[in-house]
Amino acid sequence: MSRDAATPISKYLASIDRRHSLIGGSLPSIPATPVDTTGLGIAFNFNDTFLSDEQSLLHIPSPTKSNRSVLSESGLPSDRKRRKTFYEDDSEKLQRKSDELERILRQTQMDLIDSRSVITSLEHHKISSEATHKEQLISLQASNIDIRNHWKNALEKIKVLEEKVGKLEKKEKDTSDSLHEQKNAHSNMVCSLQNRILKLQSDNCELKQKYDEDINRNAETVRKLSNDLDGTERGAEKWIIESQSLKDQLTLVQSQLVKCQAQLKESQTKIIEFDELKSKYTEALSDATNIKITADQVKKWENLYVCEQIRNRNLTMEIQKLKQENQTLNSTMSSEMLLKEQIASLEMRVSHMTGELKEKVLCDENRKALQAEITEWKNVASKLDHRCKTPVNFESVLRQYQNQLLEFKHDNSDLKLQIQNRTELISKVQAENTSLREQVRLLKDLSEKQADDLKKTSKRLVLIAKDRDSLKGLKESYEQEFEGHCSKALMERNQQLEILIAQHETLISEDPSFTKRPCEKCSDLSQKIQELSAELKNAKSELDQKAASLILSQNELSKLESVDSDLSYKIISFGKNPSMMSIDQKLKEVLAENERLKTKLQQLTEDSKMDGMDATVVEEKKGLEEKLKTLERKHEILTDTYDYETSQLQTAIERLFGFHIILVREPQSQIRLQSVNSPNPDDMFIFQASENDWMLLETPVLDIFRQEIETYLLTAGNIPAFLGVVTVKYCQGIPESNPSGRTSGASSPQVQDQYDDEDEDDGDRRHTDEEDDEEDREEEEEGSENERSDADYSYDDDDASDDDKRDPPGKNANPPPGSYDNDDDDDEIIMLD
Amino acid sequence: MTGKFNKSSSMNVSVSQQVKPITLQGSATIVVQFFKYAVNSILYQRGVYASDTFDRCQQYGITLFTTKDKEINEYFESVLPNLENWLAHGELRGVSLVITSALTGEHLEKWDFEIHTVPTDGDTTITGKKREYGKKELAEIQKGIRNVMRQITATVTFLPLLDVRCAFDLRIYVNKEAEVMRGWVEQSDSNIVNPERVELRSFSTSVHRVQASVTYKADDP
Repeated sequence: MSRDAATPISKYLASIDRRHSLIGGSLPSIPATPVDTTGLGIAFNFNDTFLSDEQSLLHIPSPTKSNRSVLSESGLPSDRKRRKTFYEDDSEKLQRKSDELERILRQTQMDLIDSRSVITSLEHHKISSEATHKEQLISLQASNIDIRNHWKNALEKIKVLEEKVGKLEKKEKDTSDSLHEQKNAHSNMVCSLQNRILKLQSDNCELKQKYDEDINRNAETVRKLSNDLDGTERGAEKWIIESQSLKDQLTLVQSQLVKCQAQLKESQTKIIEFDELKSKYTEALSDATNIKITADQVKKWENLYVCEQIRNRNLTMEIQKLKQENQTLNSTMSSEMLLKEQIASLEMRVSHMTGELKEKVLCDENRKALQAEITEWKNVASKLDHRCKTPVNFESVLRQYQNQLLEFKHDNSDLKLQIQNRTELISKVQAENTSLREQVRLLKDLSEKQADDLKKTSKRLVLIAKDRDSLKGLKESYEQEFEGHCSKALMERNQQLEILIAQHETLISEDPSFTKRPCEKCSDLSQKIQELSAELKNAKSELDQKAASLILSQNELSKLESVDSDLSYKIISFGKNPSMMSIDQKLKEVLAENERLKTKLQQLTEDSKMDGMDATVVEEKKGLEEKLKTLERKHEILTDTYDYETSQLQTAIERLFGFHIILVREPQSQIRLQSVNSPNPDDMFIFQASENDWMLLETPVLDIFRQEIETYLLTAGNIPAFLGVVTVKYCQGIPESNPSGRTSGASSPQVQDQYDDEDEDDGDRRHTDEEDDEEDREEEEEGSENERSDADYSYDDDDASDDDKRDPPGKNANPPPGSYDNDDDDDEIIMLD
Repeated sequence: MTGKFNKSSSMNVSVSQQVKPITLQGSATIVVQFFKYAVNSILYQRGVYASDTFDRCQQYGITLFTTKDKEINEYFESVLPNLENWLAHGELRGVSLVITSALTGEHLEKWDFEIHTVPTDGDTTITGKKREYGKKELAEIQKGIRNVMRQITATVTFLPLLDVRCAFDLRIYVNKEAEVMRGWVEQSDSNIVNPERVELRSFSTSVHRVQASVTYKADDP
């Protein structure tokens, strides 16, 4: 059992050691003498275990040759007797040798048994390895099935999880939708409430207005109705009273009529009585005594009659009247009916109005409720803001709140949008997250699976490698054994044994007695050896098969491990693919850019050539700019000095000649002289330059100096003398100007006709002057800017306005000094020789 | 694809939910259509072309992007029918979408779609009927394609940014015996420096099984 438990290699090694020890131990004891080799050829058939068929027939040199030579050399008489004695002497030795050989044979048999046991153990091992291999395969298949099952389970789980995830997503979506809906509903509610509030507020305002209007209208209508009612009531009462009075009157009249009728009846009876009395009178006429009485009575009765007739007439008249009254009363009755109808309609209206009033009451209640709401709102407003004490403040606050509300709405909408965007983003991120998680999970699973597979494959590889190595070792050992590549000692021993066997064989072949006695044991052994050799062959073939299967499995493994290097396919691509197109496009772009750069280079080279030219131009420009600057500076200096000099000259002239000179260049060059001594600063002498002469334009001040103009200007033609006289005259005292004297003033004969015409129509002229003044003012205002710009010494508008203010009322008709600028045609001109 | 498919209606897959037998031609049409959308999706997701050159469209129950570029569409029109033909003959082994740098021509990414075809003798029987190879619901196939498309979309998260101007090329792996039309050029296998490979999901039409994977140039540590 212990042998079975040992590994084949260890067994093999143990057997070798044993054999080695045996061989090593028996080596010195091996006899050098020839042995009996009968049956050795059979006994030493090495076909048994270690040698192949070819190697089994080893040529062993016979050791007897040497012995023979030794024997021949020893000089013994070579006869049969001697031989026999030699054989008899050596028979014991041979016997011993044979015993020894038998022992060796036994030993070899033992070895053979050992080898057999080794083989069996190897077979066992092979079987066990096959079994283990199969078991491993089964376990692998089982594990594969398990993995598949796991995979299926995992897939199912994944599906379930996906479904769950889907459900959860659905739930999430539903919840988010419901939340959104709720939010929307809340927002809609808030909006609706806000709208309702706004509506209520607007309705409140409208109701207020309506209520006020209705109140006013109703009050008016109520007043009207009440008035009407009062009026109608009064009228009805009146009518009732009147009707009652009329009824009373009617009853009275009827009673009177009855009375009258009764009286009439009485009168008729009286008339009858009268007639009877008349008859009696007539009868009594005869009676003289009673004539007078009767006459008196007749007169009485006649008077009564007349009275009664008059009364009767009156009564008929009254009856007629009453009838009329009755008709009128009937008419009034109809009117009463109408009135009743009116009253009914009025009552209807009143009921309607009461209904309206009820509605108003309801409105009032609503109003009150709204007022309560308003008060609540006010309270809210006051709570919110203490400033809300008045409706205006409240309205403003309300507006603010409304604005805030609108802003909040906007913000709410923005936030909603943001929330939506964020929810979308969140959902995206969640989706990505879930997908990533799934991916991670899958990757983890994959990695775990791969790791497990790797572990398993590595284990398998290790096991297979171990098996392979062990089998390789076995194979090598067997090969070594088979080929004889054993250790040197074994080889030597083998050779020695072979030599011995050969010697024995030769001896046996030489001895015919041996050939005739076949050894049964040896034959059995040889059979056994043959069987063993066959088994060994089988084992070797099996080993070869196993090695081949191992190689195949190794190839499979290498196939599994290595990248599929199968080149039974070809890789093609469409020639006109986008990458090629992009390369072409890039080439085109590059070429275009190249051309563009070339053109740019050319341009730059041309520009660089042109730059030389430009530099001189720039320098010239700079020089000119500098010159311009210096000239401008010079101009400024000159203008400053000119201004200074002119001002100096002006002051000098003012001081020396007593006139302030104003030079006007446009539209025509004029010199305006203003005397320093003049009490009125508006007194101005305007000299206009003509072709060869100077013209003195008409101004109001000239009226004072008509005489001087006549003498000095018109006759003498000496302007300085005139001006001198003017200064003298101003210095002596100003003669009072006579505005109206212009007509009486001696107008010079050289004064133009226009002036004469104007003298003739002084009033008209004044009127025209006033209009002209206005026009001139406007023109002056327009032209003042031009004058300011064009002329250095122009008349200021401010001065003119000041002058206008300073002008006495009588002088307002005169044109202001500024108005002399442009009205050359209208002004009177004195031509100076 | 369930039902029969003509070439004219190859790009319009009916959304019938009935379980109908699948034919080789129908499967080829589905796979080619998948290639078209997958390539478009990759080109969009990886930013090979500007996003404004793509149009949205609903396919497989998800929103996908297809190019508007005339040249690319012409390219697809010239390539995809050939693919369908090879698929129908069982000669197509795989398709690779190689994204290259337009400046340097370096291969940056490679999207492989390995195709495993069930061995068939053709699509038509002796009687003239279309041979049936399997039964699979269109919804299931579309679900598989959808998952692959989603995974393609999700790969943007870990794939390196393509910050250079890029171009693409479709490398077709066909059998050596396969007939190749004019205009096709034989190419060598594309090699990516410092590659990293990520296996994506696969889908099956019960006739063709498409296994997707992406190989990209990993950033230097």
